[in-house]
Amino acid sequence: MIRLLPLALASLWNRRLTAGLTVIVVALSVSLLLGVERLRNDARESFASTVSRTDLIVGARSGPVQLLLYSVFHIGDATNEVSWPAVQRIAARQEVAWVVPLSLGDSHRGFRVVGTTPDFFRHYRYGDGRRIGFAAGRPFADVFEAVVGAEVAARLGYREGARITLAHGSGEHVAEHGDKPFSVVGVLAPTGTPVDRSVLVSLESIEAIHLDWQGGAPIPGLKIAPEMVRKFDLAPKRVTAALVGLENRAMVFRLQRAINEDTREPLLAILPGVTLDQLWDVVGIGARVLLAVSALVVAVGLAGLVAVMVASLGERRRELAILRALGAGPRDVFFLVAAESVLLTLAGCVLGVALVQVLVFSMAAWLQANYGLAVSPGWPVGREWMLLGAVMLAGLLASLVPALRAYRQSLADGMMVRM
Amino acid sequence: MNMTNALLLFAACTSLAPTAMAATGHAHEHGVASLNVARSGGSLLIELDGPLDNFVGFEHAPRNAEQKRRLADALAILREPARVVNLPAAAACRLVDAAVAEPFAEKPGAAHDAGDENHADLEANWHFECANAAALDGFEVTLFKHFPRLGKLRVQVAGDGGQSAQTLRPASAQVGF
Repeated sequence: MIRLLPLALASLWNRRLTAGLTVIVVALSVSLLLGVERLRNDARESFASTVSRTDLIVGARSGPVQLLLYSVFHIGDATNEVSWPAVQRIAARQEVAWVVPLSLGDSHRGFRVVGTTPDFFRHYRYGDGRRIGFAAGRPFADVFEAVVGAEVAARLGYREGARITLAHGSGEHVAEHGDKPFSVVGVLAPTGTPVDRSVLVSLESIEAIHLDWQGGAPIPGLKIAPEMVRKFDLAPKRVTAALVGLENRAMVFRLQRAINEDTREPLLAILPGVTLDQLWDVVGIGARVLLAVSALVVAVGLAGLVAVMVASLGERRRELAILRALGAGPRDVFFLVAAESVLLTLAGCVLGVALVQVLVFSMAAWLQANYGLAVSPGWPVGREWMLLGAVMLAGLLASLVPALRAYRQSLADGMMVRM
Repeated sequence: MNMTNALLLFAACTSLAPTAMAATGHAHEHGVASLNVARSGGSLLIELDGPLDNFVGFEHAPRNAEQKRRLADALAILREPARVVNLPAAAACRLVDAAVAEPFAEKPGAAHDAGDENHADLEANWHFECANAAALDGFEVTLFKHFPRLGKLRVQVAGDGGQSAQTLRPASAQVGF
């Protein structure tokens, strides 16, 4: 039987145009399936690795998912703000090790401005507990000093010493805080998290640029020069959220309850990892639907393969009859046709895997830059092998259709005197 | 807006309502209870909170001898941690503190403390200290065996290795760290 394999290859080569097209159809469908699976996994991982070692995120009372998405991932609707005394009360609790406040709302040329404290660089962790590194420069120490994320620096060409102005809000038509420029004092190393796309400044800087503003617009006639702002009280009044780390992780649920039941201000404390899992439970439904659709596309591809193989049998009556005349049994014919179909599926899978690599490789930088999704090329892993196995199994089953037909045809042809 | 963002937003919209409730107070869903598991090194804190119905089959002050017995039985089980969780023996955990809030207990000064007549919850927590924290890689929850009305446990895990949300059912009652 194995001796039939070269024959199957030669026969496919003889019909290389239709065979090649069939392989391409299968390869495209396989690459879609693998691509969806790869994106599903990598997206989950890149989200999961964004916050690490943060025990609680505290914000104004809203939904846990909304708070998580807005405060850490900078997507979705803005949440209400938390008063500064409330943040200080949490920081003062004895079970709390550190608090990193975050103040969102301003932007710089499409990138988010994050007001925070220098503690951010000390306590914010990503991946499996990695710290943020500086590619150049140092943390901000004074008002009107800014640290830019790796991608902000790369895309806008910023280095230490660059002068930038921040804008109020985010969108197309934003008012600029043009009278109070910032100087870039630090550039962060790439992290693969939304930090890469952020401009970080101190909470006092955020207060300072809004001193002569009211209700989201500059107060007409009032101008406070940058050198004058230090005379004002720059202590923050409100922040968007705060990251909280505990001395003892075992206390996390007690602290969460204490914060959620605070009667002075409606607060919400969430466990980021738990909320992310709950979020993925829901997102997972959508991702599974996408995967199911791509599985259907693979089924369509294999149906095309069956159609091509069955159609070719009519043209190959003479070829198969000669084989029979040379002593091949109907079972040999069955095996030959089945082997051809399986070879086509295999070639489709191999080409599909290669196609995914090319796609991932060429789009990785773009996905990272535009959507912060870290996808990595590489050999298929875990479930991707299972999917490939499933495709091969389906291809094997599909190959039975033309093979059985060829088997029966060769029996009948053998008994009829024709030609 | 890419696919993932769109999905996340979709998820944010659909999951806002139920999770918002869970965060601020009480979701009261029969058959389901919540279990919080916090762990730091060898310290393990487990908190159980769920409708009383899951444990005794009614949610009012016991009205007859049979109901009194069922309530007493349930509390007795919860006061015995070995019947609640099955911690790995190698971790050498010992119970340092356990508290089971007794529903309908007469509080001094309060004539009647059933709160809502139609809903009552049962709360309990256990604090273990484990000598060999490295061997504590997870544990089995054995509550389902004693309380057949309990069908699902929503577990929130917070530990040194990270946080996760897990769902336990009678057939798969293992909490992983």
